Amino acid sequence: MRCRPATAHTGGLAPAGARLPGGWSSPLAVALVAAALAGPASRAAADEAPRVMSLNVCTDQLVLALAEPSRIVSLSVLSGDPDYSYLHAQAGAFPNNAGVAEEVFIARPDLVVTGTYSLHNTTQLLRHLGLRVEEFGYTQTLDTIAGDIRRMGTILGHADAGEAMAATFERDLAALALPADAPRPTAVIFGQNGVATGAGTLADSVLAAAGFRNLAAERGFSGMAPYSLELLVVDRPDVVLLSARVEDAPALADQVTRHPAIASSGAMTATGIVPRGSWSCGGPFTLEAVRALRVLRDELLAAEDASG
Amino acid sequence: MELSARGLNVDLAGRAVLRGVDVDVRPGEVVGLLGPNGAGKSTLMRALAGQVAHAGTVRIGGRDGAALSPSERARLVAYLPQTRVIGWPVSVEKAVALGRLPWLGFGGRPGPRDVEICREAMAVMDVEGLAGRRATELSGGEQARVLAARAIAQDTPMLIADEPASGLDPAHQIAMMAALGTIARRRRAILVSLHDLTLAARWCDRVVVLRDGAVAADGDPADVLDAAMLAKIFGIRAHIAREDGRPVLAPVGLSGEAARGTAAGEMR
Amino acid sequence: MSPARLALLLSIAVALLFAASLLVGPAALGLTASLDGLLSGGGEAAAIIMREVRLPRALLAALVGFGLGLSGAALQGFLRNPLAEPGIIGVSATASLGAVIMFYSGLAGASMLALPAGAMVGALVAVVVLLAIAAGNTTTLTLILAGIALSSLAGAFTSLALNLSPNPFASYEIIFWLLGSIKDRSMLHVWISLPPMIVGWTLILASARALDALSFGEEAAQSLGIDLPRARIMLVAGVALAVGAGVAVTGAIGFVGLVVPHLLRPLTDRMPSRLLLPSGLGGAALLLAADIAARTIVPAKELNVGVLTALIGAPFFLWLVTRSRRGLA
Repeated sequence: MRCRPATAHTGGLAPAGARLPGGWSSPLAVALVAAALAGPASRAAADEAPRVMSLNVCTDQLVLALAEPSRIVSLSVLSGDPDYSYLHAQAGAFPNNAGVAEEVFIARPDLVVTGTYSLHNTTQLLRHLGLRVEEFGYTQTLDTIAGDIRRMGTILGHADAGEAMAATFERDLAALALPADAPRPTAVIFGQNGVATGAGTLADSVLAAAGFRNLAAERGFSGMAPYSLELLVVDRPDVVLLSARVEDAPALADQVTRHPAIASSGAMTATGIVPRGSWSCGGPFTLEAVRALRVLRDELLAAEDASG
Repeated sequence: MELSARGLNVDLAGRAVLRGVDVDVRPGEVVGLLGPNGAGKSTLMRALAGQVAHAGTVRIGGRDGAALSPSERARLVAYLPQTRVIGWPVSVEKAVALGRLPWLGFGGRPGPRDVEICREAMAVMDVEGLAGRRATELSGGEQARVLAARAIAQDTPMLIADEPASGLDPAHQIAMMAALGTIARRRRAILVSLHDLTLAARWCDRVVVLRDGAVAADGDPADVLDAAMLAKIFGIRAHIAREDGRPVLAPVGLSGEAARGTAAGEMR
Repeated sequence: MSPARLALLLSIAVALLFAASLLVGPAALGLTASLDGLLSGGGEAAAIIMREVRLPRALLAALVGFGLGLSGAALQGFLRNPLAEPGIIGVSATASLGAVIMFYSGLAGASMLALPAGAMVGALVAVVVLLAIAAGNTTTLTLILAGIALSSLAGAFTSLALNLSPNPFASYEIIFWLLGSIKDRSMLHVWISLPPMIVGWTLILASARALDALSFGEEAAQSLGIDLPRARIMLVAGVALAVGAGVAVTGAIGFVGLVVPHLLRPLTDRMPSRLLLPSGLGGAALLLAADIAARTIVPAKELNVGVLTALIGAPFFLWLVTRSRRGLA
């Protein structure tokens, strides 16, 4: 069980134990049951691989990709949200935590993984209580993903699997690289409330890898920054990338992304191009976002050629 | 035109306030409406002005009061409420001019005739000198005269005034009553409620006395306001003298044993 | 000042501020480019910015401001109370609640069209409740306390509804509904709010005579031929429509209806009817000015316009309260 094939990283990670009954929500109880179900063969592993609890949706997905299911105590509540978690289906098999220090303390995992910033006070408190907490960088780009995978592999006691997964990721990413002089259409990721994604973000690096110029980054915006409707009309990107609405739960935040001025400007809009959750967090699956955007770019260029 | 009511009944909050009241006010006469507190004077006036639901008939200038539209009624009957409200610091002139409202079409501007009527109404109430002042800054008595001028400026064949003289100084009380008399001489029917029996006896052509929501007496002040009536209805004793054939009352105290002790009960 | 002169001056102010509003924006368009974009449709981006971004914004500021000023003047006249205002007496907050329930519950089907309906129902409920409280003799204190209670209740329900929404952005929109903004509105917002607003304004303006007559009390008004129940319905409906339709597209913007009639009253003969049109125009001018300020005070960061009107209006309100505290007792 320690030498899982590296190719298992994007799916098919069925938990070893059966799906737990709904009433069993205490992480401690779950961990005990999981350990019991794992049987004698995993005892040896149990001695080495730490029992891990993840408090952040991004670390959740690295844990899911690299840890043995029996060693996962619980994942964050967001791990089951398809908008943030690409691996939400697998995550459904595990108990959730709300990231509260008290529940971590009761569950007594060997290792807590979380993101910097996400639960800063909790992290301090947990360390004070003597728990081992590993923090992963809040800011991710395509370039940090391989490193994060390797690090997660190491701290989970599966350095080899981590290395293999990271190498595959690097190879696949390299295969997608474009020549320096390749045509690059312009794009703006125009999110709810007219907030665009600028430089230094995972999405910015994904756009670049897919062959787009991110106008928000070129305007000097970094991180999440409001991009005024007027500037969007003036800049007129080749494509405006919109996020899908939350079904059955409207918010005014969506209105500006559907403002008629965008359509009038002649910019193409595209909604839900990247698979849900594929670029909220960096992981092997983030390549799916690159691939989806590459398809869009190639279509845009083809349409441009066709029209003259 | 005549203002009359037949068999008027009014219930307020389940209490019978008026019970079978008959009353007539004919053109050219000032009718004083008298009675102790709670007798139903204000309610009767509001019913005649079409402002309170009632059973029985009210006839205004020969027409069924219930069938009149609010604007038709406003051109026939002016009503001066007892409660004096002046909401905004408007000029006296503007306040009086509002009396012309029923005669102006929507957005209509007052013409020379309207201006003349307002001027006359102000003259009758002796408020011409206050024309430019803000109505809210006047004394209570001055405000009362301004509001009365507003009702007079409505220039209707019938006028109902609820205690227009209360709060006025003696000279203006007399002036108010004299003014109502002057207006009545122009073939207007005037119903005025008063607490001051002396004033009523001196200035009204006829008095109607209400007690417990019913008419207790109706007739010439000289006939109605005798010692027995004063004791029985109002619970007072008064000297009654005569001047120019009209009674002059001077109340001197509460009625005693002779009035069979009803006064205290009645006054409650 | 003569009514015609006052209306003319205020109209000029509205026109100037409207033009200024069209010229302010992050896309630094020159005067000629702006005019060109607005009128000829030349210069594609400029035309889109002028016609689809700035024009609806300026129009909504003017229209909603007009409705708020007009409603404030009408409510003050109707209640004979200089502290009456759609925001203070809770009408705006309940209109917000109506819109929020309609929109976030999904009843509106994520469309904007049902929003004004929800907001108008909310406003209507508030005005009816207040009139029921104000029936008979209301002191200023009763009215304001009732307004505070209504506002707080509606605000709490608004927050609750938004917090319960599964949409992660909804809870951030509490500020929009409680403090208002005219950011990034489109002509659709103008079209959905304009018809009810016009009906509302018409109803209010048609009540002008009744408001004058009511200056001297309800009994005097009736004796002057005012059909009181009808006047009451017209005013209630008028305010609900004018305020509700505005709140549906801009959120609750407070104090416009308080400040404007009060500033303009001394310039009129103080009859409520003479204050209506000037207050509407003054409201339009004030909201246009506040919206320009909201865009320019802090560079590259928009404020909620309701924050600005509250910053102007709340101290003014306090001053009015202290000045009229004899009336509050």
